[in-house]
Amino acid sequence: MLIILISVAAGMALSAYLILPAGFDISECGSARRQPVLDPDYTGVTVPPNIAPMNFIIREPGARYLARISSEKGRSMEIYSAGPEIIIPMGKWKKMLRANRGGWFTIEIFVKDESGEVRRYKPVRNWVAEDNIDGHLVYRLINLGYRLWNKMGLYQRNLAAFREKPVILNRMTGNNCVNCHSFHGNSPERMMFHLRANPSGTILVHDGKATMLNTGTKMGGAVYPGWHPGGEHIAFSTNSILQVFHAKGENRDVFDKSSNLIVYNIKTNSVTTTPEVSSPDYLENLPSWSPDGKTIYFIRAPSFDSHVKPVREPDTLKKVLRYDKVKYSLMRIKYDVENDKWGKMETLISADSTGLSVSWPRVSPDGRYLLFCMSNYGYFTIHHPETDLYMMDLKTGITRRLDKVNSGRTDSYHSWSGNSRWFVFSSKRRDGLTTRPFFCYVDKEGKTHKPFVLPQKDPRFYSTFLLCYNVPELINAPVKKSPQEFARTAWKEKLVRQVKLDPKVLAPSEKAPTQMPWHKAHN
Amino acid sequence: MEAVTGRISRKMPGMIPMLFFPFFYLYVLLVIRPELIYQKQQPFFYTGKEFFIRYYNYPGGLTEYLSAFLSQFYYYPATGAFIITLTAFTVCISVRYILRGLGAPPGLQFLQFVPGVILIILHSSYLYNLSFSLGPVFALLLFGLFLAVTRKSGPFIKGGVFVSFALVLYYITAGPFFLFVLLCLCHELYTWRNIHLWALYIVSGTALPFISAYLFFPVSVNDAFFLLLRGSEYIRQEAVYGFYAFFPLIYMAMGASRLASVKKSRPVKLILEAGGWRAITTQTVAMVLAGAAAAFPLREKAHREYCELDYHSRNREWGKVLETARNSAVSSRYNIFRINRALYHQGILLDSMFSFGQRWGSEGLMLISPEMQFDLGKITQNAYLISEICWDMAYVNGAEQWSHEVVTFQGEAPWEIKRLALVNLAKGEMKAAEKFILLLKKNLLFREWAIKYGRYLEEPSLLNNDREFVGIRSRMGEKDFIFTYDVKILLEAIFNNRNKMVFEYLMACRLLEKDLLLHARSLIYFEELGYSNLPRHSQEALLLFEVIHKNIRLPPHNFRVRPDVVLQFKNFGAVFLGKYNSDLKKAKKDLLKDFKDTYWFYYFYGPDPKRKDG
Repeated sequence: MLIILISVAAGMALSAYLILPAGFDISECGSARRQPVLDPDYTGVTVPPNIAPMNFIIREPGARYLARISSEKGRSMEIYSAGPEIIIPMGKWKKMLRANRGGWFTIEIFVKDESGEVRRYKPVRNWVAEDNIDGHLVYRLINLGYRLWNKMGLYQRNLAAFREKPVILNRMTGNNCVNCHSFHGNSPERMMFHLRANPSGTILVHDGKATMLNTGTKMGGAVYPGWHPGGEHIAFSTNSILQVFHAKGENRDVFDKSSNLIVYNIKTNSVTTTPEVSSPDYLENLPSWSPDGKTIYFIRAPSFDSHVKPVREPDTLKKVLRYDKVKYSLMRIKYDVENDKWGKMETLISADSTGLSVSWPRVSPDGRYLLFCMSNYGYFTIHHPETDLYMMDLKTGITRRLDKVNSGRTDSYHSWSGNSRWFVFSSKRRDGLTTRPFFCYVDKEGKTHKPFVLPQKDPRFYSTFLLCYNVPELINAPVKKSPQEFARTAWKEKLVRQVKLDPKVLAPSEKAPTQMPWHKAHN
Repeated sequence: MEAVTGRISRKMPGMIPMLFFPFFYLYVLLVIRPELIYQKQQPFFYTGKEFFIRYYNYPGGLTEYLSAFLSQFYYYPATGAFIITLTAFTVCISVRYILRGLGAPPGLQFLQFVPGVILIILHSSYLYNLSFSLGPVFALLLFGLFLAVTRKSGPFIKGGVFVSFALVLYYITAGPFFLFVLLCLCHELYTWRNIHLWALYIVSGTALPFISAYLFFPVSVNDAFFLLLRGSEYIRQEAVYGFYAFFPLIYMAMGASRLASVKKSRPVKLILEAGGWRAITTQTVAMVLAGAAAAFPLREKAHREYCELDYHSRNREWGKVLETARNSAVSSRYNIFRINRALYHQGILLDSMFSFGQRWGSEGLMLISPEMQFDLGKITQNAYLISEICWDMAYVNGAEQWSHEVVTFQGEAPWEIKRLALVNLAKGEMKAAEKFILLLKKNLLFREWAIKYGRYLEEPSLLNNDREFVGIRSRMGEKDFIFTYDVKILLEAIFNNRNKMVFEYLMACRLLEKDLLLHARSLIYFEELGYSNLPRHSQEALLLFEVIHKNIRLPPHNFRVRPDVVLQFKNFGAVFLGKYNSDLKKAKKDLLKDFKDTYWFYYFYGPDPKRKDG
């Protein structure tokens, strides 16, 4: 009799344990009649099949929490938690995404309060895209940039997991500034980044070899890069940058006193240009190639000086920068890299017609879409809360603002995935202060879906992390060179290659201001 | 009697630390003052994995992590002094253990206190980071353990233990692991045991950092060898070298002692083996005096005053700022900056500012000058002070800009994080404010503050009951402008007729730049801002203006210059014009006597060459 009683009690306890873990009885629960607030906002998003578990916090008051994640195919998983943090098991998550490619999954949230009452929230439905995203993300982690810099580094993150590894840390290179990392065709086999201050130069990885370049010529040093699809040329802008600080609203702003475009030929180790893209009357900036390698997209605004106006005051005559009038248009120019022939330049979006300023044009690898930003003025959009992403269909010429993607805060710097189905962009939507990488799916019809932030193992990570994710770039494999190798390349002064200026491009004329490199090109 | 003396002399070596360390503790507590070290270094530590993971992936990181944890307690003077004393105690006791192990004669026992004295000298610089002491502490403790473990071991085991200890120690401490290697090498040399072990120690000492930088850790080769070994460039390097050189010197002294006993050198033997409580007491007193004597001249007086003024300013103890400044022999632009700020908060800036040497002109107001924009060193040094004054002036974006500069080069110092939380609350950027408040909740010292201000996030209307916020918001300007390093233009841009502080600073700036015309034209604002009388220096400037610019008419105002100021001005004129016939050089001595604290004296003898009048 005793044995039977004990067996029954054990059986009941076991079934209670299996059916109602952590004391949840979800069969009789009240309904909240709304979706739960999840942080990060992983509601109604489209995710790639190769993304890490999207751990989140349930921003609802309660004593115990249950998240039930179910999908079209495969078994559902239930995650019980004494706190609001939901940590999804890696293995089950991966399995679910694999099984539901092109399908959906739902997240059901149950919250039990102190009195033992359980609330059930409306399920959240998310979609799993058919298409993978490039497996790795490279970004720079920096403080909110003002005049000074200190610790910074380029890092790479495997998007299917949480491991972050340094590509280079500036503590290995004399605490200098590491910036503008860029990859050829989403591949780490050919890549580059700049180092500013000693050791100074550009680290170029080409054919498995890392070299240090000194890109400084009479045209100025190379700044913002754009790789030619052939992998043998890089278009750069040369910029004389001015940083200013506002008294109201967003504090920081950046302008160029001058800027031009140049094209660097890796084989000949020389740069060339044409007067059309390096005119002293204009600020040419942010070059990006079309996937066929025949056209450079870039932005252009009237020169800095044209925006400096004299203002008469009682005792003095002041020169005032009318910074809100600096507006860039979207341009493109043909350039045949094989024959070194420049074509005609054309305006795609004129700042005069939109009243807005264009920046960061990037063509999707399949050549169909041109993604860019527009803000009220300037090109350093990361400091402009009004910056939004826009997409131009290069086939139809139609441009639209990506309303599903944009937020009330800065939505800026972007990079395409190799398959043109995903892009990553920097957004300050979480706090208006720090940039975080968000991923957006572009389906075959060109529709953009609700983006989501890079998942973190600790879902509270972003709430106190003060560094910014700067220049997120998607790549299809990890950077194999070690930080030590990059550091050694940077320190080997003897191996620094001085870039030559194309002999056809003559030195700046004597009459031109010295700070503003000018030349005459002879074709 | 002799028996008693003998007992005392036997107990004396044990009693010396009982005398030395209380003295050490009191010296740190009362003379060095750990709260000033905290003020200078602004150490920060946050609980949680996120903060820890910054430290685990490079050699020396764990020591830095521990140091960050312990240093925050400098905030409390008694705890801070205890931590520094405990560090010194551990080092000294380790040396004592080494000396005892070597069979040191009584005459060399005093050596155990030498590192303690050096540590006092190092901490006197206020920039000496605790991590530089913790590294040697770990090295000495592990060396002690190494000696204990390998006492009866053969060379093979000894070598194995050494390599394992060296690996662990290198990962924990980085550079100071050399101390361990050095001690092992000295010990092996002293005991003349195994030449292979010597080679192992030397090779390990050089190869380990190099290999770790080359293959394992993302650090520079320089850091791999020297991180936490040399200290910052601002601390006394000779004391650092002295600290590390001391340890091989122990072995050299012991070698000399051994040699002396072998050669039966009587004088050396007498010195080394001097016993009895008298000898020991004399040694102790000599050590204490040597330490104090060494520390006093090395302590940089100006540095200490800088820290003190900083400390009082940060705690808004304006009376103490002025008191410290009055007793200070040093006059720097930083001191005058703090004095001006204190004068304003005491309500006497335009009455008393020329009682203090305003030799840096308008730069002494906000520490901003046009030259500064090209001087990153100055930006680094002045950033936190500029942030503070900008916040005082309700120039919120300025406070934000400069606090971010501090966070960039110094890390998340809680004071700056607190300022950034306040800035964002004032700007109505609640999400950004939340970020900083949540971070401060992870700091042991600021947690309570964060909890209190966290309530504003949940209930923003509570901000209307907060006097500081109401004050700041009511004085914040409406218009946008671009920050400039020209203090006059900046103050003009910040100014609005609700902002009394900016107005007083602007008037002070005009006085310092000797712009009598603009100063006089701005007198109407005194009325607008509700002043019943003109401050003394403005009265003085007005009198001077009336003499110099007889033909310029000012907008009408209702202020009168006090008769005593008029009389004093007449006396000034009598000396300057009457007695010395406007000869500036000759008049200086006499004027200095009676008019040193007047604007007139500054006007004629002040530093600014950009005088616009007369």
